Amino acid sequence: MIEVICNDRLGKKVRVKCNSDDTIGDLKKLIAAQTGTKAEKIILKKWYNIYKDNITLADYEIHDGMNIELYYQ
Amino acid sequence: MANRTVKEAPTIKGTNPQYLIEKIIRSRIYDCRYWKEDCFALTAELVVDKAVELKYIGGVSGGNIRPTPFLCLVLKMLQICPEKDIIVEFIKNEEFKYVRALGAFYMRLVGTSVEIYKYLEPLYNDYRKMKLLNRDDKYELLHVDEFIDLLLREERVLDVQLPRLQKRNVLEENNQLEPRQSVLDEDIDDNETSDESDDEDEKKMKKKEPIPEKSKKKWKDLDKPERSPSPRYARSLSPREKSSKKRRRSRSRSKSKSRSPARDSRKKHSSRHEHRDRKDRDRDRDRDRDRDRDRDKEKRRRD
Repeated sequence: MIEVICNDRLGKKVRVKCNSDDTIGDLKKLIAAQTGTKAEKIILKKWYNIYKDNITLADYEIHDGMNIELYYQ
Repeated sequence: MANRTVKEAPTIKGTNPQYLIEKIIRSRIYDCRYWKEDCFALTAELVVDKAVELKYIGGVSGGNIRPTPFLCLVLKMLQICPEKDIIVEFIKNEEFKYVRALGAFYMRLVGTSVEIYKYLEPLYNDYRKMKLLNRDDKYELLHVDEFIDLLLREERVLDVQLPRLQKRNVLEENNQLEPRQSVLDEDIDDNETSDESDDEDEKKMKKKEPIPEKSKKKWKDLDKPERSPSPRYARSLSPREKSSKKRRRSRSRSKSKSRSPARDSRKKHSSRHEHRDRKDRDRDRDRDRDRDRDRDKEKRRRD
């Protein structure tokens, strides 16, 4: 289990526990459960790289404690 | 300036009609090239021309959240608020399926529940294929009747939150709508004997006329006391029940489909008196308990 921190720089900062082999889509659902926005509306980015829904966290090399930027669609 | 709703527009669901599409997506539509180039100064007639050129439906797509032309035209129609006749023409036209889809989507956004059911349900018979551009910028296959089904059942279609739609059985109970007649019913009836199917065809012709003033209640109020004290299974059949039983036997060859859930639940209750007896079980238990308690009290007093 790794813990990923998602920050939208407008006040919403959540720490989400997930597995390394979860996809970004699963991570978005976990974030949606914690924040209350719908999973389809969430965009996860790192600078200008938008993370795609069907690729796992391990493949994106997202490790424990990393920060991801949270945007909305 | 260019993005303001036309002044005479009615408020839809209490707000500016453009606000039916959410702020973020609306901003993306205003910034996209299709809106700026093609949707500038469109009137109702020109919208028709643009709609005819549509090649696919879709919401937003791709990593940079690009809106599809379909969505841009939806927002444009919300901005200019065309008359209801125009929308009905969009829906009724047979030739262009994307124009039909556009009209149906707009009607779902701005129409009342009765209008939505009235105009969208005939489109269930359209089984043509459409292209749908999904979020990942890939095309998918969708049929027109599937799209209509999504509009009538889902809450969020093509990235637009749909306004609340009243349930069909509520409108049927209020006699604002007739119960749903599916085209498949005619196919089922074609398997039956010819004279029976003739009777039903006549009935369907009558039902297709505008809604009559009086229509029979389809549900039964189980809390109301029954009319006859004798149990239903012991009573002889009324002439109406006898004839309906006869028809139901031949129809049972096909799958039974009852159109209202109330009718289904009514069939499940085999005997009406089950309700009465279930509650009385507690009464018997309590009566025995009190009797035991009194008996023990007397025994203790005696000792």
